[in-house]
Amino acid sequence: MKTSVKKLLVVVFAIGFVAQVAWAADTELRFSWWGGDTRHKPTLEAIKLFEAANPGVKIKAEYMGWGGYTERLATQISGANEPDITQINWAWISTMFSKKGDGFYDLYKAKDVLKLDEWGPNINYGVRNGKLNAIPVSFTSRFYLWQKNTLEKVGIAIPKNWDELFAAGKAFEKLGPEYYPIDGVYYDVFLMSHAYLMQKTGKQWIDPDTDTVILTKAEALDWVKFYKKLSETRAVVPHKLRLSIAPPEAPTEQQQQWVTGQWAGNYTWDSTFKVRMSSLPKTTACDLGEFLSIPNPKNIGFFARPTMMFAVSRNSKNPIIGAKFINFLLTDPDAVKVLSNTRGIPMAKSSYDLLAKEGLFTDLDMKALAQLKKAKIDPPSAWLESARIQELLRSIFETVSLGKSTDEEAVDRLINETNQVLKSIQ
Amino acid sequence: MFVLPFIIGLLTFKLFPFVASFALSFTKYDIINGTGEYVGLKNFTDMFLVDKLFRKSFGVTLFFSLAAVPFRLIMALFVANVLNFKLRGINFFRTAYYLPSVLGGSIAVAILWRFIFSHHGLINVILKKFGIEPIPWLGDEHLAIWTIVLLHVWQFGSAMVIFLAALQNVPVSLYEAAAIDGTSKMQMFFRITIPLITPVIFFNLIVQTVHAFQEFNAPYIITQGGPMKSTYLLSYYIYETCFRYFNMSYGSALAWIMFMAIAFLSAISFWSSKYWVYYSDEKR
Amino acid sequence: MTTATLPLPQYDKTESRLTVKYRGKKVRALIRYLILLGVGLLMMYPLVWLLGASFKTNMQIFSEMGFWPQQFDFTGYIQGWKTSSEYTFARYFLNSFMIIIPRIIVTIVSCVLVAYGFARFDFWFKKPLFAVVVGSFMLPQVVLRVPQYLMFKQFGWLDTYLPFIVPSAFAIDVFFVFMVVQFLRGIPRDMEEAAQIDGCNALQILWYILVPILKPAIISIVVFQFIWTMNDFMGPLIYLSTVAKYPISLALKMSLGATEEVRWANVIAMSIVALIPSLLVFFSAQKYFIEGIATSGIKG
Repeated sequence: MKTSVKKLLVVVFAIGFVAQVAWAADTELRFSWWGGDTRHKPTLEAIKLFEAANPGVKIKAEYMGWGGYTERLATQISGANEPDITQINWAWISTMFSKKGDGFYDLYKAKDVLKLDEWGPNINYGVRNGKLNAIPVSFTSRFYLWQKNTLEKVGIAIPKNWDELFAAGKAFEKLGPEYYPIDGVYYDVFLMSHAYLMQKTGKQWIDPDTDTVILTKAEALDWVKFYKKLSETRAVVPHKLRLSIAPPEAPTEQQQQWVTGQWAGNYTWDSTFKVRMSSLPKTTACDLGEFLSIPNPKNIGFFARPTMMFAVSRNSKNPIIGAKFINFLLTDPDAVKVLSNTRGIPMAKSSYDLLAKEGLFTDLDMKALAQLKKAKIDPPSAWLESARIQELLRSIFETVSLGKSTDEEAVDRLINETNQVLKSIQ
Repeated sequence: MFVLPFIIGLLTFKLFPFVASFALSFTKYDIINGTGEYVGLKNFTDMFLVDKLFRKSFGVTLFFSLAAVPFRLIMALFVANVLNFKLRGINFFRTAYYLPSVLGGSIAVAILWRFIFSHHGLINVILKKFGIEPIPWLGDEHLAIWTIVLLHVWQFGSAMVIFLAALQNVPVSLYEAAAIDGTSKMQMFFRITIPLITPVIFFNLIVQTVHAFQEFNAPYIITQGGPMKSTYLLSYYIYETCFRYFNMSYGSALAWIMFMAIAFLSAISFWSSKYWVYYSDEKR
Repeated sequence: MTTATLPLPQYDKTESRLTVKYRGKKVRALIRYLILLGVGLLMMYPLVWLLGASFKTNMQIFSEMGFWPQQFDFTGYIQGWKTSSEYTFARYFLNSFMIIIPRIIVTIVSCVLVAYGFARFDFWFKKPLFAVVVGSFMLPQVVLRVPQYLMFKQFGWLDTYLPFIVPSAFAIDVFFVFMVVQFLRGIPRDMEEAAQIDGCNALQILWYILVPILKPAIISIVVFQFIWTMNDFMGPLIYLSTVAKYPISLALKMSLGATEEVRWANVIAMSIVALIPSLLVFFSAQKYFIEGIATSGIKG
């Protein structure tokens, strides 16, 4: 009896051992991303390509829409349960998950599997405290998108600078009280006025080198006055009117006035051009306008940053494979062909060249890229996109728009209160 | 005492998160990095003394509840009453009246509510016919709250269903007897129906107060708390604190204050229930 | 007791309203019907609009308040059903049901039992316990999310359906406990006392006497739990990470990326399809509401 039990145990152990070895040979990594219909299928295909090239490795796809992604990722990270490879927003690194730089796996440690040259100096977008937290996937910037039909109706050309924009405001009034040159989404208007600030002073609101506000009172006052001028000259839809039509975060393409062309222009990311045009009738022609500026600006004022990045979890059991996977998605020609521009215009040089050769960039894309090439791009401070600062600037500019605060009060808040908040959240 | 195993299970599942969130409210905790420090009552003193947004939000929530709850209850009871008889197609009507609650926070509601209340929306179009200037329902800080109240009242379905169930339980014989005595319908409603369903009215009162305080969907999909935070309901503030600013400890503190406010209001209701709620099972 | 010559009261449930004799009543009935219909249509308009929108193009959806589509384009339904993921909507529907049906069953069992305990028995810690039970319903769920997540992670229940079903098995949905307690307290004890004299024990009383009377309340539990679980987004969001296990509430939002074009007809078509089970449940629950009448009422 005893020996047969012993034999049984040996067999069980043997099986267990073999099973474990066989099982362990199949490493599984979890990969999460957000996206819509156009992004999910190609990404799944790219995953299959990677698995084919790396037998024994399985990538488990955890994908969803944008709504709720941040909540889920934050919950997972707080439980040390985040996926091995995650798609993240650039600003999350320094403002949320990796304030000290160690929130994600340091990809410099995996530099043997990463073709870091592909990104050149742009790799710095993902560096925090000397550690490479994430690799940028694609780049996007804000441009002026115009519906030509309405402009033709008014009989004016696409505005090329601020003065022409203000003149357009007057011209649009003749068409009717519903007509405005630019949709006045408050954040868009804020960024437009911020571009003016950079053009006039060369400084940003939150200085990216020091992460504080270094504006003088006079500069801030000039900025606030310009912000108000945009509504006062009817260049943008006034805040109160816009609010009574749609909530602040409701996208432009969902508004009736955009669909019918009463609002002719939109200051938006080039990655959202397609979206904005998706609700327009087929007869509407859209074009890119010049980046509005003052003559001889100190800094053209482009607001540009990576659209998204890929990071490897600091708790991952297979970080090198994770890094290999990121490298594959972003630089391998087969993967790039499959993924195409579903994540925007790639930042990796060879991928960019490949897609350009395949003619996958639209006219608007090419025009946008041309505008960017002419300018010196200064990355914004990541803190601009932190929730608290976003909330603060909304409250400041909403009170200004609705006439609930004086310009001086707004200036004080823009400088002093902002610095206080920045200190408390860093 | 077969109830006991359930109670134990309930306590296990509820207790840990409860205690955890209660403890959290006394700390300043960073959930991402797992670091935290004990700060005593600082979260609470900040809330009442420093945080202007809290005061605004709490005030808005109180106003909202005081406006929405009575309307909702009255609508629900009235409609339940009307729908309480056997008529061909009554099922269809009941489903129709319950529909808004099922739709909840769907995008249809968001788009349509905007269509109705926006500057060029349905209501303003109708007002124009009477020569009234368009009113910025959603853009004005004094008016926007009413659009939310209306949305909340429109979704009275769940309260209605509970009232319906309660009305069904009132014995028909009582009505028949009263009819013979020559009582009018109004009298029957106030003398028979209402007293017998007071336990359920009480239940709905408590539940609706809690729901009103915890209303989240309406500001989330229609106004995003604006304009000027005039529709910034407390549960929306808590959600943003927890999941936008990731300040779980302050969010917990806020939640517990909300809890105490609701508990206080409920306690008043419970105390007053002695006087107006009639329990048929009372041992007389 | 003759009722032939007296006008029948409004609450008479055994005779259809439209066959009442008096003309005045008929006219009033018609008016009532019309009002009901009018207001009912108001309530239903969003659904009607949604239905129309599922056939429209993006441009039409965002510029028209009218619901009639200009064309009957079914691609919204076809593409929406196929989804852009590895599974069709059939899979997500199945997942939703796999969560909902067990959850409803355990909820009914546990809540009725616990409510019975509170409403009919006295034990020394009853009052404070009841206060705790009712009180726990007053804390907003949102702050419990992260602690609950950590707890379930310890148990190893992440990425399963257990976090949805097991707590309900322990009557954690205190809303229902509270509701059934209130219902029970509205029922006189006479019948139970009679049964007790006959020698029934507590459970038998519950099963044979109270449950039939509680039918409307139980049906309410089914309806509410069904609809609320169906619409629950945050829970599945943080507990489930495998796409194959997603319920409908998550699947509906999968095509809404941040910067990508959305074909709204697809999203709306699937929202409508997702609504159908809830509406069916509600609609069919109605007949139990009517049945309840026959058994309510104390047979003297």
